[in-house]
Amino acid sequence: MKKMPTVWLWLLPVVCGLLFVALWYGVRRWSGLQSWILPTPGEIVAAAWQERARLLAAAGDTAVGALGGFLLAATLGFGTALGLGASRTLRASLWPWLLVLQMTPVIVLTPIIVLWAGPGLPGIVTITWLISFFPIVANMTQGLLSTDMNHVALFRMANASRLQELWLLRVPAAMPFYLAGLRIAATLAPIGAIFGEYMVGNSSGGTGGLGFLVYSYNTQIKIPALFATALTSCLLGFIFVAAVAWLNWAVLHKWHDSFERDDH
Amino acid sequence: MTTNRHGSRRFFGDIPSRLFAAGLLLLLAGCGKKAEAPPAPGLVKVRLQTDWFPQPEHGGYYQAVAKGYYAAEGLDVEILPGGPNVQVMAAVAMGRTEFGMTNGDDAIVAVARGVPIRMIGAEMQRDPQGLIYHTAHPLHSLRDLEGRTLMAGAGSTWLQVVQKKLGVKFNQLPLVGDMARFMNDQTFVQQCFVTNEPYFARQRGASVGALLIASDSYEPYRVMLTSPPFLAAHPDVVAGFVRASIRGWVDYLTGDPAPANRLIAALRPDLTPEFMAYSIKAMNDYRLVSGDPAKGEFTGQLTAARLEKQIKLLQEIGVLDKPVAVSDVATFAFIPPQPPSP
Repeated sequence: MKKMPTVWLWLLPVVCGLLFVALWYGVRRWSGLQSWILPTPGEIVAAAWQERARLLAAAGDTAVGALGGFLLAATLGFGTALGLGASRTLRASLWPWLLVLQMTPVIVLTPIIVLWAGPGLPGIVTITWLISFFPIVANMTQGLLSTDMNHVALFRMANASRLQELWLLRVPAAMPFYLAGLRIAATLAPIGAIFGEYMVGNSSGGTGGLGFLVYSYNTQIKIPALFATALTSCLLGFIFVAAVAWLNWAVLHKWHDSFERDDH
Repeated sequence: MTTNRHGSRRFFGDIPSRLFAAGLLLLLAGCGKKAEAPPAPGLVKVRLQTDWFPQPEHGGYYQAVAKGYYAAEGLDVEILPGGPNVQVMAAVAMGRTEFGMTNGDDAIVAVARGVPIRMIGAEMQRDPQGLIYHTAHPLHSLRDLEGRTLMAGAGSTWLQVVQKKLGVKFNQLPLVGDMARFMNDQTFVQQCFVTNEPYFARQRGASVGALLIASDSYEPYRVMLTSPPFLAAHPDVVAGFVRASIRGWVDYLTGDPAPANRLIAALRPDLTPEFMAYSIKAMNDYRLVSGDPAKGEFTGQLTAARLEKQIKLLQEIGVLDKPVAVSDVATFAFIPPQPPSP
């Protein structure tokens, strides 16, 4: 594929964004909707600035919940996938139930989560974990099973033990898959945390996070500020995704074909 | 194709393990229970779980904390803030909190489901749930809901009362947090707290009124709860808690509410002093806490006759799993005998 000039890579999203904002102003103008139904981007940015202290503190709270759930999912997902990748029996026994876990609407589980994990942060971390766990397990397991058969044959010829095959061959080979799972989870974790705050949050020990602000701004009909929480949550999501993209680069750039290298 | 050109050590060598370690630490620190504050010397430590984020509708309890009414009864009361899905009654029944507060008819329904809880006093003589409407299309009674579109908590007991007992038909939408539909539609009706949403709607320039749902046909209390085992083991603690809470409520609504409002504002920076003043005024205007003296009602009072009537109503509309007696639901041992002096 011919390479696109770098300037276009920067310019295209900006142009698209500007068009979208223009469209937004247009809709607002022609629909005659009031600011408390559809605020303009300008009003949202102004509200974000006005509420910056509260939004920032809330984003910090949400980040803690999101990071907690994300890391829990990243570690447990890795471990679970190892088990599933290593044993056909385990895979057959557990896979349908993992699907059940993923397909169960979290709303159904919130009462149990509140009772077992407790309201506030523990419940929020649990919900975030539930939401971001599956893509990690699914990707990592697929990765472990997708190892190049030539390499597997080589390991077996060299009398490598199953553990060696798993740890020295399959796990490294599955890294791109694992990281793809992490990337999906990174976009889900902040949303999961906000949803968690909205479902099981309480305001003890801090601001209650962005999910709490959604309640607060909604009942107070501060709609531009409400949209500003969405803006804040997007920024938080971008930070998460950027962190995983960096991790992806750190782990893969020296050997994986998705990165350009000098030794090609 | 994925190829493995280097030893595996390289792959993991590149993962910043310190980042993982730091994150895990953060996670563990975050999940850890906060160290409980040690009780003040000589005081019995108990907890009160509220049903929602701290707000003036919990003001009496905060007032009792701030003015030392609980301490005067030998109690160190920690108020646990609620929120969505907080499940006050389950928390009381499981012993996660000694005391809780919630809607009176929810408590009756829970007792019929076998949840071990007991009412020990009324927080409010009438639940603050109401219906907010535009004055262009007013509601004078629940019967006026006929043919209207209403956004209300799905499964609310009062909805079934209106439908089954009064035979009123209306379109119902599930209650979500926002008021956009309401603000944009003059005929729309939405469930609210009379102490809450009307303030914000008026602030946005809407001309609105609020009808209290509690009426002669349906008038749930808001109640204070404990579990029967705790009640049996510590009747004196319960007595002190009810006494001090009632004292806090009377003082909050008739005296200077500033001490409680300061505690609430520290937990809820989004609530303005004007809003809190509105909330307190609404509680007084609708006589939610004090009740109607002409009917012999007073702060904290629960009567067997009214609970009997509520149980009968709930039974008629079929929301009770099994019949319950007033004595299963409430104890009257801690209700003050006569009105506390105003």
